[in-house]
Amino acid sequence: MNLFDRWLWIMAWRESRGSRHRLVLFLSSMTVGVALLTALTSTGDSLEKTVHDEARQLLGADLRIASSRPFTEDQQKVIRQLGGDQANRVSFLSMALFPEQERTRMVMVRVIERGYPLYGSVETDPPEAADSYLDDQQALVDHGLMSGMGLAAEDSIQIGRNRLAIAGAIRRAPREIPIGMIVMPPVYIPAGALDSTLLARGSMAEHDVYVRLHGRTNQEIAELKDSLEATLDLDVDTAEEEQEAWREVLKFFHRFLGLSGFAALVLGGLGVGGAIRAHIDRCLTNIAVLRCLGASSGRTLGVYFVQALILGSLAGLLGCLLGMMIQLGLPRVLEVFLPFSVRFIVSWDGLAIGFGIGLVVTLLFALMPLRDVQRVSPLRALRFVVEPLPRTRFQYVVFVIIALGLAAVAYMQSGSWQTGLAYTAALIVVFGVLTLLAKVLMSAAKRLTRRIRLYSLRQGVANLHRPGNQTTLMMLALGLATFIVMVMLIGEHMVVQRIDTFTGEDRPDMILFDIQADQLSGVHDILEAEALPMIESTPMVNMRIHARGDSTVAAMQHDSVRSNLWAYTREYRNTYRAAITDAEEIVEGEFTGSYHGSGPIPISIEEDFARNALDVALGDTLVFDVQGVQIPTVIGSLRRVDWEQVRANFYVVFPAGVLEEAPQTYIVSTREGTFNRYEQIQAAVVAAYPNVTVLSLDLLLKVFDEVVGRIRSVISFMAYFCLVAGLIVLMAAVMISRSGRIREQALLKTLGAARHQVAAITVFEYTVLGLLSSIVGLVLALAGCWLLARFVFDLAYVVAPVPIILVVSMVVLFTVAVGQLSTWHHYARPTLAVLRTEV
Amino acid sequence: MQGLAKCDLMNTTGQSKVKRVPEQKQMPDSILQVERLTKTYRSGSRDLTVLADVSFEISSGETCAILGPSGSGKTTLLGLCAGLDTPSSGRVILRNQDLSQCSENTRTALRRATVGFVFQTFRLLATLTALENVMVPAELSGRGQARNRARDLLHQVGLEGREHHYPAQLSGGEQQRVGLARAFINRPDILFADEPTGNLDAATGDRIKELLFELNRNAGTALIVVTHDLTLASNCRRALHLHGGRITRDTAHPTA
Repeated sequence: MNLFDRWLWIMAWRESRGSRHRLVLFLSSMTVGVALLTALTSTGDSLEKTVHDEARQLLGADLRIASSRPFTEDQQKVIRQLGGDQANRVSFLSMALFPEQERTRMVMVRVIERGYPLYGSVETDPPEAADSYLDDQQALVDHGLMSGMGLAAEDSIQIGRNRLAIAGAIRRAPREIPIGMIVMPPVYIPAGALDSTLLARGSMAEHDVYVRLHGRTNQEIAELKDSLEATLDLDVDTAEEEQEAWREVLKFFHRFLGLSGFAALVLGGLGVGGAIRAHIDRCLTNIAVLRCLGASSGRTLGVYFVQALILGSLAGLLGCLLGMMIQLGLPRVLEVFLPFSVRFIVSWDGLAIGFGIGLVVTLLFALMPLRDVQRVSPLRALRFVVEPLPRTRFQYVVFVIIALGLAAVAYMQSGSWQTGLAYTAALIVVFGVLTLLAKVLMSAAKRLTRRIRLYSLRQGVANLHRPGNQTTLMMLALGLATFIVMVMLIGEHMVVQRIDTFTGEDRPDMILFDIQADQLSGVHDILEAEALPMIESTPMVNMRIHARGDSTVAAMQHDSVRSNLWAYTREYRNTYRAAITDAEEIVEGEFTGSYHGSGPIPISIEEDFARNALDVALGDTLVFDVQGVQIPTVIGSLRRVDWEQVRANFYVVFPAGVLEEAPQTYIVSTREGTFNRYEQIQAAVVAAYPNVTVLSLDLLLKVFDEVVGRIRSVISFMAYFCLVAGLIVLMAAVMISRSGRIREQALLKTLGAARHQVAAITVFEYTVLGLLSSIVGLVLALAGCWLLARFVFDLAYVVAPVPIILVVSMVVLFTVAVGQLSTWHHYARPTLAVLRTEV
Repeated sequence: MQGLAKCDLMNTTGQSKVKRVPEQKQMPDSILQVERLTKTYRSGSRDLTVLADVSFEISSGETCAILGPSGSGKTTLLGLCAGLDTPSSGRVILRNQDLSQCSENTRTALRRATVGFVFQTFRLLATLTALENVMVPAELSGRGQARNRARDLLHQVGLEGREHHYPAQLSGGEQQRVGLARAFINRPDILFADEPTGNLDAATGDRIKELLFELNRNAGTALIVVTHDLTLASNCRRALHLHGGRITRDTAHPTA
């Protein structure tokens, strides 16, 4: 086959004349897949480019030094010696009171020092507020919170005991992710406006120093980071690390969504493969005639290869165009997850990949029918042959080529062979089961046909196995589309069920934290006055690990071959108590409830954390540093913790009698039940103890719901695209057999069949197809979701029957409707006209 | 005798390098030799012999009818002679080439250069116009002036003004006239016609017969026509009678 042979292109064009409308319909299924893939790849490239160009703006500095405690004098000295530009930022959760609105809300207070951010800027409304709030000792408030609370620039906000005027709304700022701003709206205040009681000893706050180093290379900054971490024993981030972290996040996002796009693409491939198969089946005699007239098998194949090439290229081109249109809208959906604005960049790589993959998938799925072109004997021109070409071993070779090709495309999308292969394997299983079922159905239909007495039913069932049937293609399209939508629905339901477990009737629904020891009785009184129970009151003591056995953590950092010592360098908030809770179970050793001895203190550690993070076992010793006091401990027991229970759960639990005198804060949980008095209780607590934070589970769930909703909208977008591709394939599959159906209908009409009889035949046929395909798609989705719930997401496997029944019914109804609409109006046409034109 | 020395005379694009037969053919050069041709099909557990030990020879420009009842092996013989199928035994020598020794591609190239076809059911490509249908063999051979020659032939068969009509817009007789034009566009050495009037009414069939023989005479092409139509057969100089896969009679019509 020589693609420069002009005759191939001329003949391919002429030969396609009667089939272009059908081919275009199939083409659209591939276009949808390519569009999705192109949009995702191009958006991914735009994001990547933005992250690359704005690396320093992402961190707001070259270096960030972070601590959960105020920096010590020594640490401050080292940091000052770094030079360059520096700016401090302290962040903590606190209740904010809006006096004009008489409302409160938990916010993320950020105490800002002049100069922050060192790179990039805080975008505010009005714009000048970004500069003026520090001079005027005013506050900047998250724009979402402003509009939610009905706040204006003239209003005020009270943080702790200090009341500040609101200078403006924060639109966008470095290190502020919009979705995070919904969960915990940020409030920027100048350092001088901070109520220092909010940062009492033991309060949870993050202290950051941002540093801009002039004229240092990334390599120098990375080396400086390592030496600072060793010297300060603190976490240090660089702009390059931040960029890399975002790159990883975007890569994950791109890979995850890219695979959904891949599913749509495979459906498209199926559609195009079906189109070319049907087209070639219709052209078998033409092929034989061309062979008689002297066209070699290679040139004849070339005609249809060129058609597939044009079809794939057109699908690729149109898909790229549509993909660019989607790319215009996609960043708006994604921006909520990103701390930067996404620019629209035409990604030539993305377009080339979309076009290339569209073309390759088209040609892969066209392989089998194209191979048949070479097998057509010219004798077909002399003899009338109805039998399809016999299958050969080559079909298995083609299956392997297609599977390998798909695995390669899946690898390109997922970036890992394991994921690519797993995805291809899942697709092969779904395809295999559906194809097998289609074969079983056709075989059963063949056997059943003779036994069915009702004429319409008999004809309907017979249509499933007659020559030229599209049973397999339709089952694949319907089954796969149902599978994808069902996985989405069931998965979503499982997540919602998980959220519901947080809100059971006996669960706490309000958590108060950062309560100082001397405030505990006062908080208790407030709750009692509101007739609310104090379900749990848990002390928390901040501490760090000083040593394991004879090795200090500092020595371990210096000597250890272990690269990951985070469990040893992090800060712990541990508790002490006399007994385990009902969320805990001792799996090894014995829990000591109270200890007054002089030896190492027997502590209890969560089993997974002990084994995987600390790498310790029963009897090992750890020395904790509690505010400068070293406390030797021995691991007396390992606990299993049900982290899903809404309560204060801990990795490490001390026995009573040890930490009572240490500086500590309390977490208190209660249950209000109706959520009607949340703001009232919150206001009462905040008025008395401004440092105490009151968290409503209801509010949290509402915010969580919004977050889930945004994620759901992205996934739904992908799933519905897959569904559209599946439905196009269905319509196209119906179109393939349409002319045969119309002829058959005309003949039945000639023989005296009434319209309702003709209609009933189609209804029976498509009902069986729709019902079986959707049920198989459903069963596969149930199995897939069970595997995901059990092995990937660790979710309870719950299935809601109503949406499932609805989807199955809709698939069946749609299938029947498409079948009916494709032939219905032809009944009224004169039989002779139908027989003359529908060839 | 004109002929080809080897079977593999093809260029890389599959186009034939076979030498054209001069327009003024030298009678009685043999264009087709069929020697002890047998074709057996496997049908279930038994062998079905459709053609048995058939031998004959056709000279350049000779016209020959193959007659016989349905199932006598006429179409099978036609397919074998044109190199569309391979025999179980025996051989077909077309323009000095043993088809059973040729590859599929060489048989195709030989067919393109040497053979024309006329089918009972016309076999026009439905998506091509009349003119484009006629042009196909010339385009396949890579010959120039395909459009002009196709126009001339359509004019000769009385279809001027219908060049851009699709087969569905033509009557059966008109379609077969397009088929005739297509068969002659490459000025083949031999034309195989399978029941060319079988799907036409008597009057139209007569007109097609006239055209077939007129074009045949003008081009000097050998003609093998499979038919049930005795009048058509009587127009041929020779008639082979097939029965049960064997030639039972080989008659000549010197006046034809």
